[in-house]
Amino acid sequence: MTGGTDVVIVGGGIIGLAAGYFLSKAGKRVVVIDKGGFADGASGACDDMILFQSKKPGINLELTFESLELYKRLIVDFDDSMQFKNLGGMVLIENEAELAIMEQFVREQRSYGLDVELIDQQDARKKQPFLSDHIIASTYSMMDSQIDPFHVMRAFEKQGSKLGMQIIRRNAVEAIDLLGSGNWKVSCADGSSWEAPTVVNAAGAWAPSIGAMVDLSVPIVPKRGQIVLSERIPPIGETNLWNAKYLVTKLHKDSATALSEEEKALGLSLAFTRSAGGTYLMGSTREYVGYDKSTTIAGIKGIINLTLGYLPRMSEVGIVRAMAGLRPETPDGKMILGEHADRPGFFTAAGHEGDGIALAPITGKLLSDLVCNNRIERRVDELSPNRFGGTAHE
Amino acid sequence: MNRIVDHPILGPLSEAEVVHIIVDGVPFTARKGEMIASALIANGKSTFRKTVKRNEPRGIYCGIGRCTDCVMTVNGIPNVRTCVTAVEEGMVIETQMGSGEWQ
Repeated sequence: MTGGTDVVIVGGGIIGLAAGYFLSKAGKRVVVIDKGGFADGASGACDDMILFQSKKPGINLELTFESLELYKRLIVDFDDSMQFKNLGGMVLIENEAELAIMEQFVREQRSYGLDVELIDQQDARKKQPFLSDHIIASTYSMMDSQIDPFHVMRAFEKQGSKLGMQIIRRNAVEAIDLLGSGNWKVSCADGSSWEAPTVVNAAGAWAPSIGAMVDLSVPIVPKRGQIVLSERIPPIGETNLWNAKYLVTKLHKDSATALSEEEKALGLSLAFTRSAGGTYLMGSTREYVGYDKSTTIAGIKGIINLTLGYLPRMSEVGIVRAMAGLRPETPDGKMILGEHADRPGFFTAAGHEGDGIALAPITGKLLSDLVCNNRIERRVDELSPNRFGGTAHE
Repeated sequence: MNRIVDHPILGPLSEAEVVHIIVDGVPFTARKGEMIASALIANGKSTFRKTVKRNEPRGIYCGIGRCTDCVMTVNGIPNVRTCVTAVEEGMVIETQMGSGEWQ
């Protein structure tokens, strides 16, 4: 089958579906093509956070604010809660060195309008009665929210489909060629092809191989994140939890807080979040292992031991399963969003690393505005795929 | 007491040390070494928990620790599989409502 359409989106994860929905809403005919099934990639193997506290002041923090507002609007428009919850979050602080750095970080975030504060051990225990005694303080923000990725993807799919969006799964894109007409021809594994003036590369960790089809270098590397899931248990505390340790070593490379060899090797840091179903998601690792998305004994053990260090009571809780997803990482920690120079009509929307769920709506909205040439309320140059210099694929 | 005292294959019930447990605030006696589920059935209790969504009663189902239908709150810990957890002297056992509560 061969067909013409307005936009072909390569990749049907949360970013591709969000982009597809917003483009359909803008009146475009959209075809989304994915090599796998529903939620097969990172979008189906992640936590559900719209997390503010981990973000340095800058565009990522700003976009998260905008994305949260968009989610709230979509919940009304779709008449679907998508399991949105607002439990708030705490970043746990273990020593004075971490405290000093987190004080500064919290000040910077506050100056950017994030409602976050430092709380002492006693207040931390009020919110988290089962915290380990060695936690001396914590940050607290009631902004940190969550929304279920599966529900979000189903909603974008359903609402987009109502507007005519087509989704083709289990069909890999094998070639993308520029035709004399100026249209792109996207050829799939089953022999079908689609012609459109606009192609969007929303293939996440696989975006480089799609870029290579049009001779573009897209600097994204897959970073594996493993997550361990508990059985359904009653709430063990009021908020979701992270640890300052990893954040602090990222903010200050020579920080006095030392990561253990295991933490370094696995890129371990605590992310402890309660799902809508009452299970807990415990993470996570950050590993450079190519496209291998298997879970490992070392990763699972590392995550469990890390969690027990902060919440010893979790030793009473059963573990149900583990999963791993490939977070698409960019060199500067910002997503890639925009049209490529010298490739008119070829866009990339990928590279969200661990923020794909949080940033999906704003990514879809901005992409749609870029494709439709709408006036954009904010500058997005710093997300441009052309910021990395040379475009030719090496 | 709901116990088989003379089993056609296993024979007569042997003597066993008595263990005291508290179930929903009521003192029960159990046999040392037996599982909580067995002690509860022997004492005539068949509802171990109520389900999360519809508040329906549940009790023993698989009896071998796989199905997790028989979980209760034991000594303040929710989700304890009573069919594979032995009674202990002074154990406090509660019917679990939904996913229970930490104590």
